[in-house]
Amino acid sequence: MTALVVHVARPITLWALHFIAIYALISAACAPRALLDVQVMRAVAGLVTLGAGLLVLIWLFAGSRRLRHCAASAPERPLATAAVWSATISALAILLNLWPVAILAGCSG
Amino acid sequence: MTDARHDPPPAVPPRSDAYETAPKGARETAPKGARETAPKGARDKDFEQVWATPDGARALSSVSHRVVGKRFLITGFIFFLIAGILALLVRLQLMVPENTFLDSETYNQVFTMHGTIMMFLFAIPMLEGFAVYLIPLMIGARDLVFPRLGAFGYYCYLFGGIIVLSSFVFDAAPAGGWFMYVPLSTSQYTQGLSADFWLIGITLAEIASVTAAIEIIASILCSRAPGMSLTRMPILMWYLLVTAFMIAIGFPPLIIGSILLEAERLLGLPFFDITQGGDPLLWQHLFWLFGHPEVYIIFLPGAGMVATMLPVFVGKPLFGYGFAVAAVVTMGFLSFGLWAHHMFATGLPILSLSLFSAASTMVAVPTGVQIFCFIATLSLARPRLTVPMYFILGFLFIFVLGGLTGVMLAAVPFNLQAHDSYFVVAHLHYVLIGGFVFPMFGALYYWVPHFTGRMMSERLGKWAFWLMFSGFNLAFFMMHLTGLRGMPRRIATYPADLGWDRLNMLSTFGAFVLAAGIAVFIVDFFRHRHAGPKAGHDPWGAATLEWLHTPVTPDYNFRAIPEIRSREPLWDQPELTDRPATEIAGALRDNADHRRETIGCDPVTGAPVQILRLPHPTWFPLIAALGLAVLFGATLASLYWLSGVGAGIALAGFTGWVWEPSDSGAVRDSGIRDGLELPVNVVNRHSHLYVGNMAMILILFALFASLLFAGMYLWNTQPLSADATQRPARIYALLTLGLAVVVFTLSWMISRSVLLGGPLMLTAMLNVLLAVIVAGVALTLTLALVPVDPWSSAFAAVGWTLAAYIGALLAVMLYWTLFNALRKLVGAVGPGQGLPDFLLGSFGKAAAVMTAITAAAFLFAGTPQ
Amino acid sequence: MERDIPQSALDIYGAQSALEPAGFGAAIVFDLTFAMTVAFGTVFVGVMLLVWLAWRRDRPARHWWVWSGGIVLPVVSILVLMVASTAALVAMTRSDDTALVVDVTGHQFWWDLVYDPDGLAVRDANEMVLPAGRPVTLRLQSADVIHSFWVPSLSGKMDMIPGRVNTLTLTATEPGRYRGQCAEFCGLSHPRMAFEVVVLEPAAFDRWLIRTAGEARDAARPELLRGRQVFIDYGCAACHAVRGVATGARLGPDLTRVGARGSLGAGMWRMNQGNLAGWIADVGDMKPGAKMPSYNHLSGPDLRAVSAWLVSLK
Repeated sequence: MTALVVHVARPITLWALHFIAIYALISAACAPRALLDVQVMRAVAGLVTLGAGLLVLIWLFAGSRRLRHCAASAPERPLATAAVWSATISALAILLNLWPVAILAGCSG
Repeated sequence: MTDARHDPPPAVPPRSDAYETAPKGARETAPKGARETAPKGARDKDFEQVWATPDGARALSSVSHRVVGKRFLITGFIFFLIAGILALLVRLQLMVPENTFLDSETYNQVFTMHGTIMMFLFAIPMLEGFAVYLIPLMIGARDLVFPRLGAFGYYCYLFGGIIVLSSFVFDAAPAGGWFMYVPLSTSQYTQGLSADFWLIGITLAEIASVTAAIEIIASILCSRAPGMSLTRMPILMWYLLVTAFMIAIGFPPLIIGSILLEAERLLGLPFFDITQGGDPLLWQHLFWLFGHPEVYIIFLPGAGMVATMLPVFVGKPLFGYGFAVAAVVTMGFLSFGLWAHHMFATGLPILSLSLFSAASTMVAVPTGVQIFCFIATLSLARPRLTVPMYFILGFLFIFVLGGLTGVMLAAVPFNLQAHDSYFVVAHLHYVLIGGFVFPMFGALYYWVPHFTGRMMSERLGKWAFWLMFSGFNLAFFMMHLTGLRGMPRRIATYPADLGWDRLNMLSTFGAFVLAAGIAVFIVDFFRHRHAGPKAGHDPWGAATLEWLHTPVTPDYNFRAIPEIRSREPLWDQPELTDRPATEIAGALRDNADHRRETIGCDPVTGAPVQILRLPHPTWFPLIAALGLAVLFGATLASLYWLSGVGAGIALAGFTGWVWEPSDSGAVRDSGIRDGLELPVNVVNRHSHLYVGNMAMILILFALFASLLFAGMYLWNTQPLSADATQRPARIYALLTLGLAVVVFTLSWMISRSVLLGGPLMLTAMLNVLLAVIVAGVALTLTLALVPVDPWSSAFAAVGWTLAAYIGALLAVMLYWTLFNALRKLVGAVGPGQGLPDFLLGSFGKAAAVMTAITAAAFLFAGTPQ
Repeated sequence: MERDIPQSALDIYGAQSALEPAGFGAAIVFDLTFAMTVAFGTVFVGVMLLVWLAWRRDRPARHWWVWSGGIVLPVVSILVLMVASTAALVAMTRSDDTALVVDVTGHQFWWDLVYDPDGLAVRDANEMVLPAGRPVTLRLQSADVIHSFWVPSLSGKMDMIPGRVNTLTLTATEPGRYRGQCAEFCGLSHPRMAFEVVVLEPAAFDRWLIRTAGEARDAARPELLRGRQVFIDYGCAACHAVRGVATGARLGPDLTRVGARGSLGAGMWRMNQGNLAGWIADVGDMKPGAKMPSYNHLSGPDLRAVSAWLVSLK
């Protein structure tokens, strides 16, 4: 059951890391110090999102399989359900993090 | 995974020599024969005496969660009424255009204090009160795991609140808004003490929030009844656990921001001064990094209470427990990614605006999941329309509306019109009053019988509800329109004929109707205490353990702690309801050691792993809190010698608190099936103190991360000033880094020494060596910063603040390690009682990591670009 | 004579409302607001209907309720909202290089304006005049605390933060007079820090700008000369500039065309001689926290003279 607790927490933790990465990338490109070129930043953000997105999708599919094989009255079933939904919500949230970088061309639109 | 009932009992930790000899300081066990022949009545009486709350003035020394919880609730409600009266004053002033009821200065104080008291002195303490009171009762424990910490937190809240309120008496009430934006709140534009009352008083009161977070995390994870796995605990516990983690991470940015602003006001450090490379937006980032999670910290317990009460009135378990768990956990995380939506008009780059806009809309997903779980639960059977149920329906109406206007506000173009207008005032009151206050009143009607043993009036309750519901909507719905018609927030008056006159008049009228509803509640509360019908056993037909006894539950909560096999124990386990509550079989019925104790469990499975010995009433938490109050209050009054006295009293209080004989090393019969023996206060990762220590370390890392954020932000947005700042001395930064590694190693060695049962003298020597190295680190860190003048730039000031923070950690570590050494030297520590050193090991490693990161940052800053 | 500039909005109902758009940005937001209100209003009614249905329902709910209401509905709404709002945001913030530039600096509690700062550099205060149909770039700054520039009928707001220059691109579409107000709490007289925006036809605006760039015209009637002398003798020029009479001071609002403004005290009271005299004599009472001292030691005749002179400055 401890493993399942990890499975609930890890997708949304991945989202948190992804968000921090995107926020840091935008700050690095758009703040006065301008550490990064915007187009380079967008490429990096895309790659990071690809990686995070793949990982969370793997977790989502693994979690769905585990849930299907989990007995309806098993005591750990709520955690297995929670793991699937956590992965679903996290996947959506990770994709949405990429929205601004994907849609907008530069720091000022 | 099989049912816990069939699991083999958990392995008792390996016996070392430590267990063979009775450790010094542990109480002697009554001889076996004596236990069996003592009459039952005498045993019960003795048990009750151990748990009795002292009366008279000595009740102030009580640390029992029931007492502390009720104190939080009562004090929180009083602050609610005070802030509510301030709101009525605001509405009276705004009732007509160009009103002269309140002058500008007074109005600014009134609206600032309304927001400040509601957010810091009512909402958080109120939810803490419910948490502190309900958690042990619902998880099958006799008390929280750190009762003294809870009592200490309450007193800090009380004294902090008194300091803030006293500002009215000194005609120095804060008048800069509850959000205290800079530069308006800096010493340049706000002279006098008003801002300092806010910064100092609120920081003292916030100590209660972080101590509550530590307590909640450790209690929920470590002290559940045997068999109560994570999936069998009430959903409210999931809500409170997530809330506690959010407090642990969300409050530190505000604490750091407050410290920075107070340092600016007292010492002139230029964090926000644009002429010295400071940035007013740094305050906004720090404030809203706290402020946004704060409102979810307030909402989640309210939703949790709805999730608890609603199934009771439907008579069926909550629909989608697993969905709800996922929604609550993800919402806790997602709420940290929204903060800059309070800053859409500050000129952030469009990429940032869009990121925060997208993240803000995303939070609608887990919110929606919870709401739909509630709606689905309603469909499971025909619900009973009781007074708490009315408030739940009110929550659904008001909160959903507020949530939807929130999604509107997440759209940046719309936000640029609605921001800082009455539209936002409407939105925030819809989500806060709908999401917290309405569930709170429902919860009060629901759990008041547990506090007093009597039911409140159904008739008056319905009156209260309808007055509150209609008054609230009348007052605040209009404000959506008022805001879109151009009325900004925080204005003491407005000209006539701009289309706002009638709307404001209606809002004022509604506010008074809402107040009337609250007045009805108060009248009913006082009336019911002598005239309300007595509550029978489980008056609402609830499923959770707090209703095991007929109200009022005895002080000890559970005569014997039952084994739990279901999420709805009172519905599914007949052995809990077919006999008097005092005769239910379970753990720890015997009390041979005459000590307060409860069962400690595995955090995930709920299997029993230890017996937790809990403190009896003591004065030390009050003394420590009093010391802090004197420290904070004297600093406010610039009586620095008195601050020193306060610090001394606090230190004495903390020392007395922790200087006590250890209970570890003993093994006792738990009373669970076939004489299962459990160790007392284990010295390993299962220890509740270890979990609490880890929660505290999380908070320390969050404080550290906030300071790092401040430094990185200034480095990034004020590059000219940051690059022109003097550089730290690299050789000393390198030395600090090296010594940090030594501290890490020594700390690790100290924990290993305890776990492996090493000789006490070895550990004592390591303690002293650690003290020497820690002092060395403090020296090298200071020397690294000697070339940097903290007043020369904001970036320099943040560097010094970072070093001061590490210095504080090092000072705590110095005291702690020498304290541990001293206790061993005077023979107060027996074998197997190494918990303080075990915890010091974790703390030391964490402090070493933070020191190393700081040293590395100074190394980097010391290197010319 | 100012035939082009209509009467003060203090007589007009609803000139400070996001629901009565007269600018490009405000119109976009109005459409977005309307669409969101209808959409989310429908969602709200739908959810309340579901609550009622669930209450009365005899058969228990199914899992798909939760994931369609909790996941599908929000995700669809989010996507639509993000597309619409991003498009609107990009349209609103598009900057135009040929736009007229106005530097706006917020003070406690008034607005300093400089039109075409890199060209004509025409300084004025508190009442902004703009051409209809032409994009204007406002460069927003602050001299002290954080303020916020907000004319709801024309556009969304933008904060004025010391140490930064925030840009707001604004295009008024309808000639008229509109009221704005500081939208970030800035101290004691935050409620009294308003302003008016006068939108003229483009040709009229060009004429106005050229005329205002020149020296102050004070109707040159001999009886007003005493007022001008009072202005100089009592040191008003230390804070207030009047082109052609006293230049250089930037501590207070520029008074070159003060009499032509529709309102006094930053959009608060009708501009006329009586109010002006009351202001000069007792500004601390009318606007607590204002940095201007009260000149109640002026004699009655002096006060009348200086206020008459000021009101004549058009």
